[in-house]
Amino acid sequence: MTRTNGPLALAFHAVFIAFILAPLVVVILVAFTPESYLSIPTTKWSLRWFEAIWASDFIPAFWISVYVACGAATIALVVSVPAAIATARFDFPGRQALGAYFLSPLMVPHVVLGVALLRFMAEVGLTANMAALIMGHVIIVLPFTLRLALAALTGMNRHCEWAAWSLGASQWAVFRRVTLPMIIPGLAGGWLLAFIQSFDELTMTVFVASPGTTTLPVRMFQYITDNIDPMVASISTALIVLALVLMAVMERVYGLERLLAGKGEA
Amino acid sequence: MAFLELHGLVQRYGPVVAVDGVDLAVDRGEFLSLLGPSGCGKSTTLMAIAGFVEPTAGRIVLGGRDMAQVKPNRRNIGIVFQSFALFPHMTVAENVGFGLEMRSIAKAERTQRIAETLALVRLTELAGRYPKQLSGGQQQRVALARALVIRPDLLLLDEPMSSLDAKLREEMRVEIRDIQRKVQITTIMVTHDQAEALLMADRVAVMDQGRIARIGKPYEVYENPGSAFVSDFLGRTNLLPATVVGRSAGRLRVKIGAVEIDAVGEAPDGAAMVSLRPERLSFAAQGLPGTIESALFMGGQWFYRVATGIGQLSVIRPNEGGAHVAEGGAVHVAWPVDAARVVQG
Repeated sequence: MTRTNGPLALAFHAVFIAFILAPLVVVILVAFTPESYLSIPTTKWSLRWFEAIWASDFIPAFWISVYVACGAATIALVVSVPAAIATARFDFPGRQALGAYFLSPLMVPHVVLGVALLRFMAEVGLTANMAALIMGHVIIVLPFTLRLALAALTGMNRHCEWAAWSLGASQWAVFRRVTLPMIIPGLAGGWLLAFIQSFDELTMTVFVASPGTTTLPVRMFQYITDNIDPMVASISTALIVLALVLMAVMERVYGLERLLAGKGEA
Repeated sequence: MAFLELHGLVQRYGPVVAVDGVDLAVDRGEFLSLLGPSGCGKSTTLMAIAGFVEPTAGRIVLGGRDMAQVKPNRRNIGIVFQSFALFPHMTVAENVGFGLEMRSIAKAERTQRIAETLALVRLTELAGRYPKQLSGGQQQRVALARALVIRPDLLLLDEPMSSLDAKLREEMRVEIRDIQRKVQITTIMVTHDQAEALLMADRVAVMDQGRIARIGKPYEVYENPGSAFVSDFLGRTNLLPATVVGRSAGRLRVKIGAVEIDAVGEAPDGAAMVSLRPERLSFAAQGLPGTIESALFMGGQWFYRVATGIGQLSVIRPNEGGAHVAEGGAVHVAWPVDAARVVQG
């Protein structure tokens, strides 16, 4: 059953969408201007700032971001699965508290986390350390992988596990052959959300990043404090295009809605 | 010694007593149905037999072996869940073969046994499909095949028919019963559907509030329910509050309102209930006078409600063509003496 929107509702939707898209449109337009300052509106178009990306140190920063995001998302996922199984499948004292504890990074401001980590790492001598940065990101993305793992576990038919168990499977075989394949879509969605969250993270990272561990958002932030040219706009545009391509591929292969809703197989 | 024995099984969840002392003995090859309303403890009993829940008290003995320390994967029990619980990421053949794989049975024998079992449930052509490509009835047959292929000592069916539509349910009842007879496997089926239990099982155990209220052959339990609860739960009945006022020659004399009738059964003098099955009542030239309040056509039967001196009675008469008694008509309701059965309130 679909109902047609009235004119007021339509206008509201149009304004709302424009509000979301307008900044992106401006960024994309600026990226194609030739001047070394921000000029909108403009009459001339150029790919100059895209060419400039290749020679810049944004490329290594991009790979550091990818590396950190992959590492953080993967570690968080590996930690989340047993934690989710424990909290979803077993009843023990402190179960609720543990669940809340795992999700608590959502409630801590990243600024606070950044300051704390900076101090902590200086104290234990882990500054400028890639592993330390990844661990910091694990803290931030853990709630995302855990939430989706939990949703997948509670959403799956418990009787499938029992059926496998009574068919002779050991607990480990039940997990490997039945539970894991059934929650994989949810886990993949969690990993993806975690990757995006980590890739995007600036507030905390800016405190702990050092020359060897400068992620792309941190590098962009540093650049924009010193320069006013369309470089950052062209990088942003490249990232938007990259995200669109990734989303299109995933939609084709898997279905984004299924991935991000964290649903198991029906 | 029976093949499966439950001794004083108790299952408590905190303050809730789900199963409250169940004793049960099932012979090899027997088909027993646990029947009762939701929350009567029948499913919990089944899950305890399968080993998924640990009994608070009592013993489960299968084939002479105490099951207390035996994990579900070592009990050699086949189970079919209400939701079928098929593995969505495996084909029909892989689902059926899962139990064999877990038993490390060689590939060649596995393939052969999968084929045999799929033939038994008439699914040979669908071996390569995934569960979501199957209809409800087909999914259920896969679940049954998956449980049977491991040649279990015991088959457990947990409300196996309740997610199928009415027509399919009737077909599957007969089919599952035939398969059960064919492979002669000891079977326990949990259901809340009394028609299903009566039709399929060799014996039915009616459960109420965590206990077995009545157990016996379907016909016996139906005819001689013992308590008002069982007589009401099994089929339709007219339950009338009565007083036992006397007895003679194996019969009881009971008073219902101002009317005294003969009844069968055993009860001390005093308050009791009388159960009158509607299909045993008929309209005759003589009997209890009454007025038809409503006449409902149900296809194969007419369903009447008759106002009488002992209260409103439901009467079911077969549709034999021709005229039926119209609403508002005056009738006399009659029944054979053994149709009036005294039960415990």
